[in-house]
Amino acid sequence: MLRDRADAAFDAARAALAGSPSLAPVSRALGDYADRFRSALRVALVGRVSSGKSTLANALLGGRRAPTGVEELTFNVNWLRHGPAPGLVVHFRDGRQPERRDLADLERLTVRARGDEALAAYLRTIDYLEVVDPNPYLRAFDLVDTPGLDTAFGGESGNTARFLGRTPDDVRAASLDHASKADAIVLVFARGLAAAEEDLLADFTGAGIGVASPITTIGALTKVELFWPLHPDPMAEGARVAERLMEAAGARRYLYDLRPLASLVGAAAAVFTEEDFADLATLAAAAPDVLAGRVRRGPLFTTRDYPELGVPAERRRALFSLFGGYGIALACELIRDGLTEAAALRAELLDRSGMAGFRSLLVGHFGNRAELIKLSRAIEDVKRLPQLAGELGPRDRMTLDRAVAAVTELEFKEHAFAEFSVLRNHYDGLLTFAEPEVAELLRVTGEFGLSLADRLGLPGAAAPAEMDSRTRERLRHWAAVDLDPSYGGATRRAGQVVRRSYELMINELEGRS
Amino acid sequence: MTGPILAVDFGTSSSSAVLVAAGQTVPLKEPVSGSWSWPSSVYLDGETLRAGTLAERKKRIRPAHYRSEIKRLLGHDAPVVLGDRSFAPRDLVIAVLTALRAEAEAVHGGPVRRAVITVPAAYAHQDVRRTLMIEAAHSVGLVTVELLAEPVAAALSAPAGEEFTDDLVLVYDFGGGTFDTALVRLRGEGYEVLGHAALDDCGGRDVDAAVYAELRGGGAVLGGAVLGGAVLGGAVLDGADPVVAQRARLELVDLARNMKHQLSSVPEAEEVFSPLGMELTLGLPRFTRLVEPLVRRTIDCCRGLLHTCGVQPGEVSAVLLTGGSSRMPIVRNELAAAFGRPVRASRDPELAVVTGAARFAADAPRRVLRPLSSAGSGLRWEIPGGGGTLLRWLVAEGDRLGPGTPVAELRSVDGSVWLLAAGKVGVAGTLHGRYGDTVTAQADLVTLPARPAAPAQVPVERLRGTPRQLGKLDGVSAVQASPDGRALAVALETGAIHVLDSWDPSRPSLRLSAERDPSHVYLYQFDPDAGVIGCHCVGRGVVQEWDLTSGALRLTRDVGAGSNVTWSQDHRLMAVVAEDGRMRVADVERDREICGHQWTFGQYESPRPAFSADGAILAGNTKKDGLLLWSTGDGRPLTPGGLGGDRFYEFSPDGRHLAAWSYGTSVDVWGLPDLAHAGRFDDEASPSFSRGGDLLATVTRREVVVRDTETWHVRSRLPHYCEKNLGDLRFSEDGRLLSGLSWGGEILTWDLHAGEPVSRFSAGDGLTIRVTYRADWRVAVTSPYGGDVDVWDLARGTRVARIGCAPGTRDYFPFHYFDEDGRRLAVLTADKLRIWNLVP
Repeated sequence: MLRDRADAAFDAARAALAGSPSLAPVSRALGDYADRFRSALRVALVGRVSSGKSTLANALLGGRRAPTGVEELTFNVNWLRHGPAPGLVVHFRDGRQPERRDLADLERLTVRARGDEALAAYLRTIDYLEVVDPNPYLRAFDLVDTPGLDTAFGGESGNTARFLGRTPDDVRAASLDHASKADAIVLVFARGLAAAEEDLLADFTGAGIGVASPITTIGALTKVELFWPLHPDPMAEGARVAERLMEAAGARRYLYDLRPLASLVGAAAAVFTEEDFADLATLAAAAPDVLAGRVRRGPLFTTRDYPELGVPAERRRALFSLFGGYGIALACELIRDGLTEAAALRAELLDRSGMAGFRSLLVGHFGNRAELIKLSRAIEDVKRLPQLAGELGPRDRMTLDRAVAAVTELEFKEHAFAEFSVLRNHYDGLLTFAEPEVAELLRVTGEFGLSLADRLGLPGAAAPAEMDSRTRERLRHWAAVDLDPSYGGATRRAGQVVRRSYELMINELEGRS
Repeated sequence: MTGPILAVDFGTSSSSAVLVAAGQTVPLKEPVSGSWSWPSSVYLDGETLRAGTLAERKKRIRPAHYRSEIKRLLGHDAPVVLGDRSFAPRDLVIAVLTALRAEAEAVHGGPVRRAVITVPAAYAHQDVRRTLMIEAAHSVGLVTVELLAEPVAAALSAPAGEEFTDDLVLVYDFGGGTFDTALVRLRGEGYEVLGHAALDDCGGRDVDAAVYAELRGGGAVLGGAVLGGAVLGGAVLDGADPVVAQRARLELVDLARNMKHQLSSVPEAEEVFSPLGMELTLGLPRFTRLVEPLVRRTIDCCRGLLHTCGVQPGEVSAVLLTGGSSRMPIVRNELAAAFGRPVRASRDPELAVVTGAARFAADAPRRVLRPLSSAGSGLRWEIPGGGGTLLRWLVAEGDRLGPGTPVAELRSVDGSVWLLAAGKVGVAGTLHGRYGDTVTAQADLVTLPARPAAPAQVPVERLRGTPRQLGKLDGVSAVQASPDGRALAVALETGAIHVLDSWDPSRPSLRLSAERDPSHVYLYQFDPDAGVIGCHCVGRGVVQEWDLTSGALRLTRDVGAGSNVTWSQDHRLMAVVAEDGRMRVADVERDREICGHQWTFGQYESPRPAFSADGAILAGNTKKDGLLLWSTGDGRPLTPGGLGGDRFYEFSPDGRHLAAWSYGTSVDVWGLPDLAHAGRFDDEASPSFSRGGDLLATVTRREVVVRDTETWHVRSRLPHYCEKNLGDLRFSEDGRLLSGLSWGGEILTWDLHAGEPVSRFSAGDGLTIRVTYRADWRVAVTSPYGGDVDVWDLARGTRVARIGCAPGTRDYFPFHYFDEDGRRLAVLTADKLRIWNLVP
């Protein structure tokens, strides 16, 4: 296993340093990198202020985990990680001991701070919030919710930032800092066709976030439900916009995929109550065109007296703020179509909002590749150690070089990196293989599953003999590809890599891996 | 002297190699193709792994048995599958190296055991791929393997007169499989790779693929008409038979490669695609457009490198082109436009790296490090690159070291191999470290035991002066110089004895008349201070003494014709052995006989009786009787018990010890006068005591062993490396130097304080050599029987002068001595006394 080999490499590196007291700081740094490698993959949510990152985080986790209700708190970095019981720990920038707090308590405190200078000062010293949650989803990776990459804040955000004594620059710096410490990134675009989103992409790529590549970055186009009611099918419109961003704006060079998300609907799906469900059922009983007409009017829907809908204005306001207009319309339509259980509605809304698919995308893309992504990052960190170590005597320098080599050699020893780079070239559109070769390349490198059978395109129950003969047959095919002069550059290299992948499968089948 | 060295540029796509031997560099041709390019490819042919062109020729038969660009696999743990067999990546590298070494040995006509192999700059100092490359080379029999970074080799390849000296060079290496660039700083003899970058999918093969795609797509002009891609493609390249199609494709890519090569020198390339009998043409402008994207990528890669290193293009002295793909004219143009710096290329850019490697290989004898001068008692060396790993020791603990003695072999972090040499005389005390240990200048590698400082080396003067002839000295039969060298006594065959002032020719000489002796005479005593000279006329059996002041004969004693006569140092005691073996020992002053003995001996033997320094003991030996001793006080036999037969003996000059020995047994030592057994040294021979008697030197088959005569502890073990025996050990007056004469005529001298050899030279070809040491032991004069006289600088082992002897005097044994202060040398040859001044 890659993990074991990486662990062994870190152990070897630290063992090499053991006899050199002057290299103790380096050894500690190496220990940190090793711990970091062993700990969960860190995925940062990066985007503009109010692009719906926290909402997305909550939607992904199926609950209200990250603060979203009080804007001041969204100016902090929220680090969501797996833990046995829910909890929130406040970390401070002045080196104070972290405090354990209740989220609701923190939100109340924040609201009170608007009139209380002492509390405001408290808010200003917050570095980041660590949110611990037992959600199994967080076992695959930590989510780091960053405040924003904006270069200027407008409107309410500007006021909030001023109140917190934060400038766009330092919010942006904090976001970039956390993004660059992350192993992988979800780049969040809020609904919109504005040039600003393309600017965001440019910001992001120009910011020097080392990990920006299709392997490590996925895009989310959030708040797609706001295309409704202008577009009757907001998800379809979202898909069209995403396509445009990927192609026209060149996002394909940085993003593995850009998924439209009705994030508000997705978040609501996770948290609505039985009472909410009952009210939705009541609304669904009204004539569909009447309901649609009322919901479209937005603010009026939450205040006017509409006895024909059978739900009082105050409840309608609560539903509207939770689901949004499209969410109410969609939920009622689904109930009318026969969903009579809250759980079924919940599942369907998650699916329709794009959130379910996005979750499996994250788990599939980052989760399955977590070890490699983290190792890649660890190797980059370890490569920088000699510079960080400063002036050393020649003996220490040699010892350090030896320790560094023990880890960095994985870069050429682990074939997964070569596959990684072939995938990247594929997503960059640099490979000229025909369709069958492309599909095979993706399959072999584990895009459709990591088991041997998956990678060979065989059923899960395939017998070893069948796998062996398939592997040898494909190996011969790719040996011929290796020889084929039609392929040059990245494609030629990719052919060599795939040939090697099959070779490793043979070794695996023969028990030599 | 370094033996032949194989220099290898182990490339991704192909390799090249040069044999460096006897000052010549010979590029090695691939035996199958006759080209300088050795494909880095392998093919499993039955059970045999074939490398190079053979692999290329066979690849079409079974692609799955063929692997190109094997260097990319180095460092991978998982085996490589060829056909149904698996190979460690290392084995593939070994296959290529084996072929290279075999060709090198064929060219050299003997074993080649040393190599310089270039590796990419991306292989960091502690990179496992470096180790693997070295191990692969070891396993094909290359014992000493140096690694050199490819861009450094390229920078070293500049021809004589155009070397980079104090330059920052951007090495642009556009090879067959990859593009590599590096910034190399050259400063004096040193070099440093500031940074490097590479494109692993951008090489000549990719250029070929681009041209291939163009030809296939119909871009090539055919007989004036554009050929439709469908025609060429559909007809054969994508034909129904995959084997035929593949062969056609491989043929087309060969054409593409040929056209690329043509376009390096002509503006339009033409070829015929034989499966269709079609003429293909490609013009330079179109070719340039095809490869432009690739060249742009290489230039972007260089830009990225400069940026990463924080170097402005203006700081670069030159861009150096290497690798076959850099031959394309567009490369030079684009680089010049991009960086505005001079672009340099060697005549054969594909051989630039191996040429630099060969130059580096030829420099191997210069990779010797002298130790740092430090106040400490150990040896440490400043290692190029800061540090290295120990490869092997070339000395053992206790070995003598001298200036330049190779102590150890070391690999610097940069892959070069260095000899660590000693700086001055000493003894290797403790050797710190073993194979693979880190060596830096921070710690002593060798601890030297404390020892007195060796004397400064002073060159010995040359001889100058006109030889002076003192009369005519016909038929010299004996010669003796006075102890202070002032006077010389020469006995002539006529019976006359001349006593001369050695250094002042104006002084009249004394002439004495002795018996004319038909056999020969000995001047057994010549002491001008005591005013006495003694002569033994063997043939006549007479001993005579004269008063030197008056010239009057003082004494005539009949000892019997043919007798052998020995005196004690004070000439008070005399032992006479008659021809029949009867010995009489007498106190001549008191005129009384002390003892006698009847010796039994063989034809060419003599009992060689001798007195101890104080005369208290007389010894003698023959094979039959063995060693026998007598007390001269009371005349009783003293021979110690347990002393077997056939023993030679040696008294110490201070009279405290007697050593007895024979070849092949042991040296036994007794204390005097009580003859207490002091020591037995097995398998040693030829004992010799120092003048002060405090040291005893003996000889074993391999060493001279010097012992302290108080404790009998070994002071030094000095390897003599004499195939024949060594004997005739002599200590200098001060006991510091020791010389021996080998049976082969070599004179070996050691410094006993430093415990190491001082010099070694051949003074003749036999044992019969007269050796005279000047009192200070800086000069020795030698003369073999019947030969010329040589004057030697003993410290350096160099000859200062040769003094020829008159022809026709082969049976004469030249005689030589120094004056008291060593400034003058007197040499008596057959008929001449010549005096030489030793002048600075």
